[in-house]
Amino acid sequence: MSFLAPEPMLESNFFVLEPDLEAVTAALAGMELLHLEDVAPEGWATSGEWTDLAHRYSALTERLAGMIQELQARAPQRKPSPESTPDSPLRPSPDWRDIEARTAMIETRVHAWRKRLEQVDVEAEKLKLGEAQVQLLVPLDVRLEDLRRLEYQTVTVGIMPAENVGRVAEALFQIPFILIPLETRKGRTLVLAACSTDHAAILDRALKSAFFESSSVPPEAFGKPEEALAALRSKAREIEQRRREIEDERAKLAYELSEDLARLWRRADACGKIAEAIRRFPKHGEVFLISGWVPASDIEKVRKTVQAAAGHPVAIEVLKADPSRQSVPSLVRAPRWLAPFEELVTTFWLASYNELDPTLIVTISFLIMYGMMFGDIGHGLMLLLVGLWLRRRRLDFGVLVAAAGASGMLFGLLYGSAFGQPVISARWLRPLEGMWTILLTAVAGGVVLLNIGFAMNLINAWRARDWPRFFLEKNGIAGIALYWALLGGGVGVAFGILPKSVLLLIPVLCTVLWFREPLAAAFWQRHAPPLGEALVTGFFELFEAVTGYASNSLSFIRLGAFAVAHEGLSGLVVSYSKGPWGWLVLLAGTFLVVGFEGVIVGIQALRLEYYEFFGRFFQGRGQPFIPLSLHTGGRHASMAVRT
Amino acid sequence: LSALTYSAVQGNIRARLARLLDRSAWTRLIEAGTAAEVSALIEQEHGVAARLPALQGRIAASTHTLVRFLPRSSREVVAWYNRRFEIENLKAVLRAIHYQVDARRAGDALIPIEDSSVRWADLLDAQSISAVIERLRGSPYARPLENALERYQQDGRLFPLEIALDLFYFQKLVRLMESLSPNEAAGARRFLGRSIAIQNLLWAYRFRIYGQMTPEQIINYTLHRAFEAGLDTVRRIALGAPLAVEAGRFGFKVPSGLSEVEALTGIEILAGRELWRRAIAALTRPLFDLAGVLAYLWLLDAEVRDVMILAEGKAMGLSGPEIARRMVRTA
Repeated sequence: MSFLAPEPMLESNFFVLEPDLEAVTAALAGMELLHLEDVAPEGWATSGEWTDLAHRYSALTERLAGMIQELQARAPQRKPSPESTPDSPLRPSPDWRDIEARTAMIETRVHAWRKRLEQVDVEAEKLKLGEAQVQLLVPLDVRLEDLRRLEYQTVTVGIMPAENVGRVAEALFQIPFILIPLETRKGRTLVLAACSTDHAAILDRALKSAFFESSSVPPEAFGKPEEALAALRSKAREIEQRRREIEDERAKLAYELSEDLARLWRRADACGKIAEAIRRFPKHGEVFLISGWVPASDIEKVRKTVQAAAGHPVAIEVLKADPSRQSVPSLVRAPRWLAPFEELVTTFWLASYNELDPTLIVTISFLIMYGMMFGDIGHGLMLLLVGLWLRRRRLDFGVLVAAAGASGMLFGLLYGSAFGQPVISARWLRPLEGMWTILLTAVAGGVVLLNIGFAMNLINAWRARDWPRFFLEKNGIAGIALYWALLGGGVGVAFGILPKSVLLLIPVLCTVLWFREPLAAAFWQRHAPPLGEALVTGFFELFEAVTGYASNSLSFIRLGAFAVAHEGLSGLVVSYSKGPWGWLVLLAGTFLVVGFEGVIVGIQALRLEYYEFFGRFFQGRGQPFIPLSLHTGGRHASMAVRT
Repeated sequence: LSALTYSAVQGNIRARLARLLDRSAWTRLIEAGTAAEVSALIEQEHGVAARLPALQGRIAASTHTLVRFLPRSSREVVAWYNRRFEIENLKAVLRAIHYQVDARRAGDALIPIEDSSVRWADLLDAQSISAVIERLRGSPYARPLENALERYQQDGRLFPLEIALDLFYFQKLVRLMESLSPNEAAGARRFLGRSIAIQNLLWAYRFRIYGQMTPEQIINYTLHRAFEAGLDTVRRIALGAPLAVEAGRFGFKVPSGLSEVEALTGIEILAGRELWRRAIAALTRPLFDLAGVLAYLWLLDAEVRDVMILAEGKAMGLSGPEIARRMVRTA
């Protein structure tokens, strides 16, 4: 049952000689069993060279990814798979030149192709501008050749940054001019500017200093504007055809280069990861210190692999974790089937190193609570199908939805209900008929869950050797005793099962909880505030604890209430689905119940888990175990390893 | 309300003011025998090498910290103001690529900006200016550079690219300042507005005197909205207005007999001193507004500028009083 608690961790320090550094780091990254810690012993410092190399690899990876994207070649695999691991040993520092050179070679081809594409685009753009320019001249009904031979006027057309149009107009304050902005696209404006030939130099300087790019009327445009337009459009079609041909080359290039690109990307990415890790290792003389956490069960494997990877002996220091002064990462080796349910816990927080992982209990209790509130064979089946469909789309969340649907079906069987109709006899009860029974069962279930929470708190406190929490807190021995004195004692005395003297325990236990802090200080030398302050805060905490016991237990009544509401609402949908449009009402109503209520019920179940159940024992604040890895995110960057 | 929103930043600045060099530290620096001694003293005071990029990186980091405490409207102005270091770095990168400087050497000259999203090492690895622009895609700097690229390629000079960056940066800064509430805008104008106006004035004269530019070029390469030195001022300068007259409008008296080049340098120092006095005066009262923040940032800039003048002066063998004449700090 190793998945109920995080794996024991060992603090491991590897003292590695510089020549072995890359091999050892690569071996460690390949194993994915070391969670790195940044340490800075006195006299040790990190190396700037590796920072530089890490940045270079990062840039290189981006260049490669950019080309892959541009060619729409196979995308770099973010998710690790066995074939995505580079096959030959990784040595980031000597490998750099080779990867860079091969990248540059591929880049040359890709750039050459891109340049051709860009040239065609520029030509097309110029042609388009020319077309727009000629279009303007259509009303003039003059031949373009004549316009080119203007003697007293200078006319120019081109594009410029849109924000500079106004500035140019200001700059031309000394001369009479015409400036017509024609159209603006992507922040650049097509402009027609004219002035007398005498002032042509001024206009030219003003336009140039406003980053104007002239686009003269294309030489192939001649004759009257309409004739020129037809010629330009024919030319545009030609260019479009050329563009298509170049686009086709993209696929050819992608076919030729995609394998190399993907291989180079994987290698650069993995080398980058190693360089990025080494960048963080402190160095003293020729020795680098790799420090981090290794699961205790894997330490021998790690030790052997490191020694085998290094050419020289590696000094390895292994220390027991001390969670009271260190932040130890949590690694829970959960079975694969439990993985889709992990998010029920991690959405709240990750279990800390000393805590039990509540995923299994949360999964079971969540499904029971969900089914109880959503009990209907038909609605559950719909949810199950939705969940399976989501799973087919590779969404882990689908498994949770399907399981919730299955639980709904199971409770539907117990309630004898399908799509709000009593189609079969109830194996247990019908919520609307056995309202009190279901409400009391819900509270009883809540009491059981809260007590599981109490028990887990005792185990967590024991593991952390936190004795005040174990004995004196509201979820410790004293608190549990008070809870049962209030609940069991109250019920027992009311039914005459227990003597009234049992109730005397209540003030005694209240006093223990009230004096919690002074008692902790007396028995375990814990820091305590001044007595007056401790008693005031202790009193309010006691008040909150007592009311909390009652409200937390009663909170579970909603399980029964929602079960009743679900049946009522489903029945309502059925009762309104008479007449010619009845099928529509039934369809819409059913979707509303499944969609809307399905979500609300999920939220309610989560609320009970997070507020009532977790509040008893779960502190969270765990640090995820993120091993040094050659892959982005690592094979098990989460807190859990699938087994 | 302003006191509330600026209380955190006020506390932060008050705590940081003590880190500025005090009178005795300046006396020691001016009396230092060599540039190496100046460097050692600065390193001792600030914990970073007395190199311009390192010191400017320190200002960028301080500003970045202060920005987090500012209310949203003024946060945008100060955050954009802080981008002047990115602009400086971009110009350094462009120069490195244009003159084919070794990437590592060029990297040493860059200001270390911790929160910058620009990948400087990647830019320095680029083979051409157009590759730099390509790698800047996604940042706000790509478009202004792209606009000036053709001019750069035709002229073979970096000037169009540099001025495009400057204009883009200052135009946006002015726009952000204009969008502030009236009170905030007044505070921002007192330092930043005045400083931008003076710079626009100096640009116009430099383009006319050193660049021999024509009026239309001067107008295109300067800011049209720059508070006291807007389009009208630029036009007058472009048409030949004497420096003494335009400087007079700003309250600066140019001694007769100076050449325009000498007068330009003089005005720069006078303007610096005026802003320094304003900043000191602003810091003697509570800092519950944007003016206080800008005054502090301006003092940081001025301190770095003076330290560099001091170090260079010592390296050139100038005497203490000679160096002090070139510095902004007067006491």
